Amino acid sequence: MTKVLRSDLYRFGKSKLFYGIMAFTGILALSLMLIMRQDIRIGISVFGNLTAFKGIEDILRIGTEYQKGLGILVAILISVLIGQEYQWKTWQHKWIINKSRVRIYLSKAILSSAISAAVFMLFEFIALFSSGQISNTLTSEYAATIVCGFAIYAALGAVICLFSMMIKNNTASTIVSLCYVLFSETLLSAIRNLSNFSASVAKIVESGIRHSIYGMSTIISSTSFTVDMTISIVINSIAIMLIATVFGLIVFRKYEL
Amino acid sequence: MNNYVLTAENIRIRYGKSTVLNDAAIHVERGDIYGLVGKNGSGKTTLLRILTGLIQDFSGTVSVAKTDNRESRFAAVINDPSLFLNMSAFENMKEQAYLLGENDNRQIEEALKTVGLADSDHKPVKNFSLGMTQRLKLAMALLQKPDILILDEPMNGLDPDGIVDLRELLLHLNENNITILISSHILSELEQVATRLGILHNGKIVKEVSANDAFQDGTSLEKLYMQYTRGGNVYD
Repeated sequence: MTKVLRSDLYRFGKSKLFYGIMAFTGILALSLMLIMRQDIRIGISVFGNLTAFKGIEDILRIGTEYQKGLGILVAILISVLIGQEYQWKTWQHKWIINKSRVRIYLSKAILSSAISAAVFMLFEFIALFSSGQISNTLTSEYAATIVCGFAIYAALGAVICLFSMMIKNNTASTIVSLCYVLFSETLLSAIRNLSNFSASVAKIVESGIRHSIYGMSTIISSTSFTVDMTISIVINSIAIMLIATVFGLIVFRKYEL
Repeated sequence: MNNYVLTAENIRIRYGKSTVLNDAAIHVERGDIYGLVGKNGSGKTTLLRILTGLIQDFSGTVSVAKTDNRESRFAAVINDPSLFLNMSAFENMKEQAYLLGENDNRQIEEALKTVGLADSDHKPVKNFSLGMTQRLKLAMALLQKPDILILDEPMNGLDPDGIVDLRELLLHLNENNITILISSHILSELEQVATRLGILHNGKIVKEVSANDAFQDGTSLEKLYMQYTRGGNVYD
């Protein structure tokens, strides 16, 4: 397992896209924070709601809401890195060298979760350290948000890894992953509306949405989030990671490489 | 007692309604350079992919004998890119070395030198010619220190010098106890290196014969091939 992981890590480390996205994440966090510190308010009014950042917590929240930016970067990065293996049929070496598909998949899932969480942590830390208000911001609630965000992004990485491993076409897997990130809110709203015909179904759907990656992301970026929720969100994220990985493993074992 | 290192029996595989291999059987002896010939679409690549385990959804059996009381090591050059085109030759080799648990760069450099790519090791693979990519794939296969080397159309895209170099390399590897299974369309080349031949036709190996037996009366591989695929009429 460690051999496959080291090999994948080496390849990811040679990817210009990886460094490009990491650099973009860092620059984005730094730029937004610098604009905020200069008291420049950029934004538009959407139905009376100002989108301009009002404080540094608004910028930190951008990180926790994956669908508003960082999730897009994560989706592109993971789906391209995995898609290249299908595009160039490089699975063959691993398989011929006797690396089982379980190991091949697990290596990809672990690295996808790690990369996704790393993008989030990079954004948050650069935003935090450039805010000039570390002591004010570094509350137990913010620490809990970081822990939950880390777990949610790791789960997001595992789900995008699942899409990328299942869809053999590089472009198609990137599109599906992007759609998952961008339209999960719309999709879940539609499901919520459709379930309104029955109170019990609506209740089940509501619970499902709350426990989805999108639902958890909404909870930690809202004012209703409390430190007590941390454990349940982390456990929920681990459960999503496990389900996505087990499902992916079952399907991937049958794939012709 | 036979000396087979790689055998496959009753191999059947279908893609949709089309039967690609129908009771195909192949017997590769230790120390062979086994030349597999067949027309386009005859199932050569499919058979090689089955032997290497890349295709699992088939019926039949594949057996690999042990070498020196351990599992025989496989390496294969299958006719797909199977290289990271954004990385250099050295980086592709290094990625492969990590998979094998090797950290010694000298082995990488030696393998690249063996295939004549020592001067191009830091050039991105996307800028390689077809012949260079074939050589790189062969270098990656050699890094595995294989007992059995499977090559699918390795002469494709090689210039005349490349073909001669590859022929010499295959003979050299074979002298070093590597059993080689090679598929090719270039019958004259196979004739020069193969010690055993298999003709694949209509999803079956219709003839397996040692090169000595096949060519003892001056028969060429082309004639032999025509005999078993066109019922003996060369000009059919």
